[in-house]
Amino acid sequence: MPSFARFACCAVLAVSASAQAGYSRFGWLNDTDTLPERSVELITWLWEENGSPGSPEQTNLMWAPAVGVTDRLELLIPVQLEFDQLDSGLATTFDHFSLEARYQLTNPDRVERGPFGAQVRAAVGRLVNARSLVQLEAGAVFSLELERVRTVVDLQTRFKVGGAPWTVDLLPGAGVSVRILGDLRLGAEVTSQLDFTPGHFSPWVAVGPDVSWQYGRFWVSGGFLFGVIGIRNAPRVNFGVTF
Amino acid sequence: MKTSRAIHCLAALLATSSAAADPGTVEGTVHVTRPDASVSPLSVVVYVVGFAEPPPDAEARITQHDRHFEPDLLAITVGQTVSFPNDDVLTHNVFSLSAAREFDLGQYPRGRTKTKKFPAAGVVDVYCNIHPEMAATVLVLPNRRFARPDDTGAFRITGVPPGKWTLYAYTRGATTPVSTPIEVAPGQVTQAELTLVEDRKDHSHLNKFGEKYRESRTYP
Repeated sequence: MPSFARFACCAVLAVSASAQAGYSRFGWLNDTDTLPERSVELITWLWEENGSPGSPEQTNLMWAPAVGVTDRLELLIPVQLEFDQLDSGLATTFDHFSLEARYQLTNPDRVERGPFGAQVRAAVGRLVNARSLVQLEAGAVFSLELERVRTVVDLQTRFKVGGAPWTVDLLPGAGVSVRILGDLRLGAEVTSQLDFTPGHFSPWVAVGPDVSWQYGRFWVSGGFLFGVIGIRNAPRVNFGVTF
Repeated sequence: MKTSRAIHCLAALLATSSAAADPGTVEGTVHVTRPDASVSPLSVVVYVVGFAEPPPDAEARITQHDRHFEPDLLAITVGQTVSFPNDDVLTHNVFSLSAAREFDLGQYPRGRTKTKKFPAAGVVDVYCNIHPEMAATVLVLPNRRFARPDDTGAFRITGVPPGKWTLYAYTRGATTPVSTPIEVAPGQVTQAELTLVEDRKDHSHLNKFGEKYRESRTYP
């Protein structure tokens, strides 16, 4: 937690220049922007799930190169590592790699599209330690931006299919982000993970503040969410560099 | 410099009034000088500010060719669309960080065209993120009463509604436009004369990330 607090303080003190990039202004939520055509971005996601059922202390690290195929279509190749703090020690897992597509339904130009934005995404992933299963992801994100205030509703689903047992996770969330100074934004969000594994239902819901900042080709966002149901806390930081 | 350019365009937005019938004409001469020489007035746009008109249906156009934008100064009306065809052998990335219209067209190769709508008045500086020598300005004006002078500096703007307006002249080589008040009478010709000084010495700019261009990079 102290490292996240330092990150937040540093971000608040900074002032930025502006640029266009396909980034999220939230910690746990996807956003509706996509990269301009032929732009490339390297994105890192780093998050913890602490005190959740089944995996008491978990840290995840995910990288992905993203490329703007068109101004609306973005392709990513995420690779996720998972670190679990178990009674027996630390377990490190190469969780999965996948191919993900994000398509912006609305005009990518903020001036021409107006306040509403919408994006759909789909991914197919290889579970490294459960080779009989395939991970499928699908979701939609909707944004509304009025003056300094940006509101996002993020609806995601994740399936693990192909073997037994199949699982379905629903990951709905929503957030509000307010532009404070330049490209520095502060906000709040709620996110959840509703796990529908047969014979095992372990949902969690967390809510908390978030911050985001963009500076030239670099952006960073993060949130420290406190558990409401089924989890103690869920801090997260994401950052990307555009080329 | 940019502040003063923005202010005159903001004034143009605010100073709108209804245009009456039986319009008049504004004509005259614009002189362009540089401290060391006289300059061709072909690079100048002369425009009348003080009233608003709807944009034309036709798209305006700035072409990418031989690592240049053609034209490098384009006057359009608020609400008009500009197409940016790439007729060059190279891929380009057209963008603007101007407050009046920020956009990023991404990289696209020869034969492709992308468009942008300009819904607000102002001065929009357009660049290529790959080739720093590529620069153009889109002058987004509140009406269609603008003209390019001929090589002698003579200009003629027709269809100007009667009233008291301001006549401006602008070129990319000047740090600020020049202006003079005019009064247009119904069906009459109003004479005006303007002198522009090309005193803008620094044409450097940053890339779309707000960084200096890498001087060491070379391109074919």
